[in-house]
Amino acid sequence: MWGRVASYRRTRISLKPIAALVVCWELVAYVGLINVSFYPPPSVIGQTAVETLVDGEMLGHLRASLTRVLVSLVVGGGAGVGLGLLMGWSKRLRTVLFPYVAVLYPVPKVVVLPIMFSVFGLTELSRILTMCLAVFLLVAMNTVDAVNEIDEVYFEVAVDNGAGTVGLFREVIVPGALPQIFSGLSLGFGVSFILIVVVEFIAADSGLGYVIWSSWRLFTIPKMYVALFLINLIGIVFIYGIEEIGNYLTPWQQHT
Amino acid sequence: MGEQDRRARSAADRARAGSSVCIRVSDLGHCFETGSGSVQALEGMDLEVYDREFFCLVGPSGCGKSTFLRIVSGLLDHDDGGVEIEKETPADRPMTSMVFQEHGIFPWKSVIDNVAFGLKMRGVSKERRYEIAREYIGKVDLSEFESAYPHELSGGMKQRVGIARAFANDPEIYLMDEPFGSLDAQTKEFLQDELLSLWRDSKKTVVYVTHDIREAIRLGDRVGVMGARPGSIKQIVDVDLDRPRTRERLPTERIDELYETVWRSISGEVEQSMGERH
Repeated sequence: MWGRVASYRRTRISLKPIAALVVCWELVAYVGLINVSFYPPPSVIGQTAVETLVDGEMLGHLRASLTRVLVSLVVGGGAGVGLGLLMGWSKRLRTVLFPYVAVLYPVPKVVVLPIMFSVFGLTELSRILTMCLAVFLLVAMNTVDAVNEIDEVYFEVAVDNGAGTVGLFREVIVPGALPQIFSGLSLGFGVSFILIVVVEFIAADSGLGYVIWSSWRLFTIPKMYVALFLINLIGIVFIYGIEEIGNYLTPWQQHT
Repeated sequence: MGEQDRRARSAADRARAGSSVCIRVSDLGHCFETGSGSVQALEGMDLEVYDREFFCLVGPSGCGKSTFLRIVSGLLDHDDGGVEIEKETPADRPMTSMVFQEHGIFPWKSVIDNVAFGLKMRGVSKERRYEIAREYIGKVDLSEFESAYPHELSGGMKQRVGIARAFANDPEIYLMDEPFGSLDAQTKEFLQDELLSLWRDSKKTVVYVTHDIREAIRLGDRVGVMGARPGSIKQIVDVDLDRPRTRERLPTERIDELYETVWRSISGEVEQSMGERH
């Protein structure tokens, strides 16, 4: 019985249905059921992928997008975790800083882009700062929440066992908040991922979002799909990557 | 062991014979500020806990038992009166150590790191603190689980971790806040025995808060009954039972008598606190 329950719960993602879909797509394109100039078959997309990656064009765009996402996660996420922990820890800091976070938090982050452009010009800095800010707000908000939700008794236990300020921070606040910090990082990545496409659609001349938009306008549809699938791939790597790192760093949690 | 010996070993006689006072509480008062005003948790509380005594504190819920422990431990500052611990502060050991109710151990630390936590905070080297922790983990029968995380343990095992941590700290006074309150009857009885044997080896003072009268009688040298809010000591009952109090040696009749005495004292308080609401 338990074996059966476990087999329901622990389903690994199988690649077979996806492979089947690719084959179907190829077939319907082959027999002419779909317009291949709009929906090029996987074989054509694959060929384009190899060509554009080998000649370095797509590789450059991939690198541009990847860099933006990574920088926003590391800088924005890092600042969010750091300041979130400090705000959760010090009531005074929370009183002063938290209102900014709370007010900015619900703003659709794209609207910050024009402000950034007006301050820093049409530069890479503006693009990256916008993304950093978005990640920062989400992660900071989640981190403050995480610290606030740590059960009071753990603070008592720590103080009773002689923990000082540093001890409390290291032994209670950081590990106590860690699981939710990783939820925040996941959410932050989600937002930065939407933002990067929007930013690259409208205000960049590099990156996978830029390739998608310009390929659509120039009607180089296979290239559009290559960029689209590469973005998909980045998403998969990051979402599962963040989850795995989180699991690795919080071994005390029950994982299903 | 004859009646005479038993009498001679009762806590009251020991006190009369000059056993020194360990915790002296005089006219203690404490007030909580809540959203809807202030609550007087303790008022005019007087108590003397003797050195090496197992002192149990019972009373209706909300009578300030836990508040009292937190004041003795220094986790809470009190408003009026005084709590004096008449012992010299040990150089490299804490004066008090708490055993908490449920959830008193860190979910993010393994059993051994939970037990070694107090030692770590006092700067004991990793090698030495693990050595000490292992000793006490062994004493509470958790050696197989030293690297397990709390979510892998049962409620009773978690409480043993909390007890092992307190004993690894080797304080002068143990403060226990209903440590077995959430456990089933069998586990509870088993852990009571374990606790008594640890206490016997340590020769230290224990203040043990519980709402379970039988538990208080089973464990304590004396049982202090606290009155309803604001809390203070209403009566102290001597538990004149031999030690070691193994199961087969417990005189059920005497226990029932003691139970009645404590119950009468408490039930008056319960009625009073319920009557006040009308």
